[in-house]
Amino acid sequence: MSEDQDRVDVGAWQVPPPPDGIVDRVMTTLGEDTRVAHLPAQPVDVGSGARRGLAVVVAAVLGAAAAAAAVVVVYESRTDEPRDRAALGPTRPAPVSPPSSKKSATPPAKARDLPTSPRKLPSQAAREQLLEDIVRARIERERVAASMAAGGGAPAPPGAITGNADMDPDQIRTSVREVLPMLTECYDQAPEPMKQAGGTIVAELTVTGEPDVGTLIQDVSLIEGDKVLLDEADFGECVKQTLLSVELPPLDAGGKVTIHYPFAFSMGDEEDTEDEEPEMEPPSKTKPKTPLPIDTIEQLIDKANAASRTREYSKALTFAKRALTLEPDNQQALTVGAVAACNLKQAAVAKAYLAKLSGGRAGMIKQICLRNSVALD
Amino acid sequence: MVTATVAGARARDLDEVTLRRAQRGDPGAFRALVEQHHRAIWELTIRMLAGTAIAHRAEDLVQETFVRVHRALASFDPAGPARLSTWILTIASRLAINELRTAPRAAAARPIEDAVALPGGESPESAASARQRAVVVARAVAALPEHARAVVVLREYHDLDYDEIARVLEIDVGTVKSRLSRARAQLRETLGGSDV
Repeated sequence: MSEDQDRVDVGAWQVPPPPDGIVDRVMTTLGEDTRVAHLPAQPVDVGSGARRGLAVVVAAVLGAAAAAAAVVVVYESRTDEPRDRAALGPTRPAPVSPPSSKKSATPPAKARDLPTSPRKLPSQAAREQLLEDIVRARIERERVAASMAAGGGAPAPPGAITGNADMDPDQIRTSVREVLPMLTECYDQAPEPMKQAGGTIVAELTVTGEPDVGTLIQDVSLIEGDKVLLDEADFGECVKQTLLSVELPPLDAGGKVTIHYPFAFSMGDEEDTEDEEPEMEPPSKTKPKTPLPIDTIEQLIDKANAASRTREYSKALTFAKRALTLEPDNQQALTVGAVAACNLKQAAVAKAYLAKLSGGRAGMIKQICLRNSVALD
Repeated sequence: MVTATVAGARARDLDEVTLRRAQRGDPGAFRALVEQHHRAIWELTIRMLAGTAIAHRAEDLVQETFVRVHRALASFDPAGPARLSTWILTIASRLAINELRTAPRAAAARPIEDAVALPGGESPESAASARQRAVVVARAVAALPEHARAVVVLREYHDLDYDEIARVLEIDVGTVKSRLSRARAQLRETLGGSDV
């Protein structure tokens, strides 16, 4: 090749051979990948029950007193790890893993289509599989963190909680709030006297997740609330099973937390329903008992942009998601959400938003993601 | 200092049947793909990261490359402009460049010697001399800016032609030529003063 006349001989530099077992490690990773990728993604069936007859209002109690109590109560300690390990069962070998990487800590689910809003898992088996993947990824993440600490970094203090302390209460709250529409069906199917009475129940939720793998509600207990609701065993079971069947959007940090989350149930008017039966609805029951503090979409976008400017990308994404629940195709919300997702390296979220963005904005987002090593192809 | 020696780390491409099977999700076929290409990807990654603070992440990037290959393989068109080997090198190159861009500048660089093979089958004296030579070259290549380094690595060690390099790095052929020319001039200057 004539252009190569000025070639410089650099052939003396030969590199060491690949580490032993690298192909096996790649295949182990991909074996996980393949299995997870086969989980069919199901669209979230949001609020179908609310369109029939009387509307059901399910609200997270976020009033003045409740707001403080609504979220994090207990961060679980690392002493749960052996239980998690045991849950994997003795017959499954631990995955072979590369020597030192945060990224390789949770590679199995990289091919999974992580949800941007809560979605129902297709089956109990899928839930168990996801839970297992989360536990495996966590064990691996902690192993890598421990080995990095042992390799020169500051050693972790005994019993330190890895990841949990970073889980963002606002993000968890937002995430759980998005499940609310799914609970309307439970209320819809409840006995009429209970529906008329309405009330509040407080659920203790154990949320577990790893950023690149997934997040779900591992355990649910209804711990307190209005008697009329707690006495309805079928209703309570429906609420629990619904919450347990949901996969939440990925959180920015991995870990497991237990939260107390109050839900308020009441009946409200359906504005555009023709077949409702108004005579069944006492006027006093037509409004939600606990009004939600509601930001306008403009306020939410402003908050998201403000958070993004100060590099508080978790907050920015939370506000953007809330804005998008009001107006799913809002370009400003999608833009700030995608910027935040890129900076948080949440590729799945960034891709979902990017798909809805117009050309110019999309180009900008691609550049930002590229700078943050977030692949969108 | 002007003759060419190409290491020729380009992997043979998979046969069509195995590729099709891999594209359909056959794990055995994909393993064949990994076995065939991992060495080239490893060498590319090692050379791209050599001497930087993230040199220790080479295996991670190799894994990440194949995760992405696995994810996108179904969309690879064997009749398209890129060979499979070039397509995989594209993924690995971009990953490495992105990692270098976001690597912490303040972190301590890794010794370049980590990225140099120990020569074998020679006398101790000649082996030491060969290693010395390799370290000097490695240091010179590692001193290139990341984009220039990528062009040099793809051309000199993976034998990609200018069009292929242009596609891999998403730049035009003229830019490939100019970067390569500047990089070679820098290498010549660096290596010219050394006993190589």
